[in-house]
Amino acid sequence: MKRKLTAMALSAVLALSLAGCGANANANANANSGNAAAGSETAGNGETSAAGEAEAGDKILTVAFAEGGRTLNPSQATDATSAVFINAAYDQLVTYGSTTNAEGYEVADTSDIQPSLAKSWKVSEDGMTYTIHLDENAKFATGDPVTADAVIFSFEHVKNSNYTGFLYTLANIDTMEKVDDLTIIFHLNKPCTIFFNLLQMHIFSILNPAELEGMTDEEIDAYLTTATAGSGAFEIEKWEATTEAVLNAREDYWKGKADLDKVLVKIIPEASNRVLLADKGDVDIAMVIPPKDLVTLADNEDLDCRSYESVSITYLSLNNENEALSNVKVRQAINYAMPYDSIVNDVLSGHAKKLDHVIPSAMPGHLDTDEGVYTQDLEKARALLEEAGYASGLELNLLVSSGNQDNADTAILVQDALSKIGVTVNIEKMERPQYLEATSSHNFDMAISAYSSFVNDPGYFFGNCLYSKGEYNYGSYKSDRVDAIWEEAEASNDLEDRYSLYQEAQMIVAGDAAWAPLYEKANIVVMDKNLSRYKYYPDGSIRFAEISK
Amino acid sequence: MKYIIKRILQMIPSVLLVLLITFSLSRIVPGDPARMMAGEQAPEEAVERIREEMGLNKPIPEQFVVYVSEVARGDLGTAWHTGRPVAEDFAMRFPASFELALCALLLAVLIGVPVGIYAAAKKDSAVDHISRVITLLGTSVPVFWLGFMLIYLLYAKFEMIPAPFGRISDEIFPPTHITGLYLLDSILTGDIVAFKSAISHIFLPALCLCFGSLAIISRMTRSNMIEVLNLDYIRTARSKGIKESKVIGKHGFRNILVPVLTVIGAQLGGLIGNAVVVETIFNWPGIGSYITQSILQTDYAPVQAFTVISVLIYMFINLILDILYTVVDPRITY
Repeated sequence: MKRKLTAMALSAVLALSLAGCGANANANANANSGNAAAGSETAGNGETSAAGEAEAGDKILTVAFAEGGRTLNPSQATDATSAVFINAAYDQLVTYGSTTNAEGYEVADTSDIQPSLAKSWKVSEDGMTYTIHLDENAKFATGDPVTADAVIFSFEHVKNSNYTGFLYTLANIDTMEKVDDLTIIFHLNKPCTIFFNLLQMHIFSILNPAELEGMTDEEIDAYLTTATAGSGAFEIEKWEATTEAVLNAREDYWKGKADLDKVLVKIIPEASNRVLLADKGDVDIAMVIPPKDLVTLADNEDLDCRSYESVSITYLSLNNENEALSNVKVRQAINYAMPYDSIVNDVLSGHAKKLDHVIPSAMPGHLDTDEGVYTQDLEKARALLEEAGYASGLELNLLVSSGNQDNADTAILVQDALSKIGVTVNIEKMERPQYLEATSSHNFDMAISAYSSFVNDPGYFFGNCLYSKGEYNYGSYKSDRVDAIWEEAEASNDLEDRYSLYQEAQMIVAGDAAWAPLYEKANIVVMDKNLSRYKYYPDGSIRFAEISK
Repeated sequence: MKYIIKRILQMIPSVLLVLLITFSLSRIVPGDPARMMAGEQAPEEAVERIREEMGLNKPIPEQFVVYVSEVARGDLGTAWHTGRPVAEDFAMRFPASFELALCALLLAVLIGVPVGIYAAAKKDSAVDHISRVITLLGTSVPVFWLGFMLIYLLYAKFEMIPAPFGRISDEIFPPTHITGLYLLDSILTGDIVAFKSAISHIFLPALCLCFGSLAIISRMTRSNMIEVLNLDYIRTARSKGIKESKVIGKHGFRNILVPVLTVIGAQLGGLIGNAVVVETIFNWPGIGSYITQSILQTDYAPVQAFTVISVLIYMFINLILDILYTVVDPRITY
């Protein structure tokens, strides 16, 4: 028996070593020149080494993301991570110019619209027609020219999308007219002051109809979930939402090849692992770093830890339908009781900014004044509660969504602060989907809410969060004056006029204490100091084409 | 043979029951997958249209019938968060998970059983005490904590292992595809470079995954061996002057195989569960990390499929164990 086994083992080893003479993916791994050849040999198995095909000296960017996005389909992607890949593989008609922020970092200038696929444009006096001339050099990855037909095809696809059709509606486009191969006219049904701001979004990426010929809308959506049909600077070699993505710069990109040759996106769900990888220099950029971990990275001299202003805000929703909270004095008392400084300094380690008025500083229409701003004043809070008839105290529940430690910590500070003015708070922690259901059905007293405006515009923000019929007006806030201002502003064709209307609305919201604005989040990006030309966009999505290494 | 067929037929009602339970659970849990899919900022009417598209507005019993008939045809549904059929996603990730589980099990058995036997033979010796402490740690230390500690120490502090992502370093080609198991494939093709990289990547997650099982396996081996060594036939063997190593290694060992096999089988179930945690921590591109993402995104289909497949694997392991019992102990017949 034993001998038989030994003999079998021996023959197995022999067979193995014989097989070893066959294909060996790394046979020439020590010689640089052999790499490319080996790569093509193994490519047939669908398993290529991520960086293996690159020639020595190639510029490879490695990025650590917390999650890998959901789709590559421009008309279905509503999250910032998916947008990263879409922006790499597609171009839009226009893009933003650059400016330098207070810290000296390059950031997108949302008021400076620059050409991309569109070379030039003309807007009619009344703001109802936009004539757009396409760049005659613009080519899709397949070599097909970018034409007016492609633009109309792409916009029609967004219009019919269940996911993002609302953005087409928001742009007020009535009809599209092809004048010649390179000219399109958009006829609007009413003026849209943020027309170009919408058009630069990844949602309005231009698709190549030639690649999608003969498919129905559903087939196109299914196809574009994992494949791309654009004119962008990168070709997506591999996209696996839970592990990694590999992007190759296209040599024949119509604007000229990107500086990087290859981008490796690693999906690292654990924040502590992302911190370690950045610290050890195994990744060039790490996204979504918790503020408290920046302390560990601050000593690393090879790293640049940047925080950018974002449009993400966190606030305390107050349900105006609750009996006590329907009283403006109670809401004001809660606003006066909030421990603003300790939330910013202790929970977010100072990497956030107190939100004075509801519109964050990265959004147009932001109000920079001390007037109407709440700061912690427990005396005043107690007095207001007494006036409202709650001198003997009050009990309220507070919803927090699980999966976000910052929000959980904030809830505890809020609970503690409110106990000092006689308000007993019961914290209820819920799973994210459950939490969303409870808040959107207005079934709560108070909730730690976060909102990141998908469109960086005060009208969009107010319409969703503070307009009485807004989708995200969780607290059912209703002010006839705010509603009237929103309707007036949305009908206006003058940007400055709109912004000043929204500033007026913010003062009303502050007086009504609709919610308690807590802080605006900083978008933290940790990167290697060797990177240059990293341009930050308010949507938080990286544009790899602009990065140099 | 008849017995095996009977056992397989008995699995069918169990599988149906599991399908029913996982299906109902995922529907009872609050949270709307259509809402998650549309994005938190999509208008309600868009969510409604997506709900319709996914068949979520049909009556629940009808959804279940549709689900069972699809599973029967091998269609596990589509994972919307990757945009691919679940079966395809699983097939792609299975080798990674299988390799990790296999390595962990091998480590647990190859270390656990000998340590257990040695500890039993040298009861109350230093080795016995050390193994007891390790066992205590193994059963009480949570696997996620161990994972983070090992990463911190071996990767960040002492730089003994490469960055904890993936199965092989980026600059190295995966071995030519034969079985999909990198270690085996690299041996088969004689690819030393790939083997070295693959083993440096799998070492920590496998160690982490095996730790709990290793402790229990060595402990069970020890206690069973001690019991067996007190039996009369062992005393007889000893009095006949047979060498102690042979008494333990042959006479004793054969008789603890049945309980030890049972423990190993039970540990495999634990391995599947712990793999979800370990794969997530080590960014291992297997089924476990995929399931974590699916749960976070409220993606029903992969989670249901994973539960059903885990149950099938578990049933299959039990069947194999029952057959193995007859091999190791000829007294057992069915």
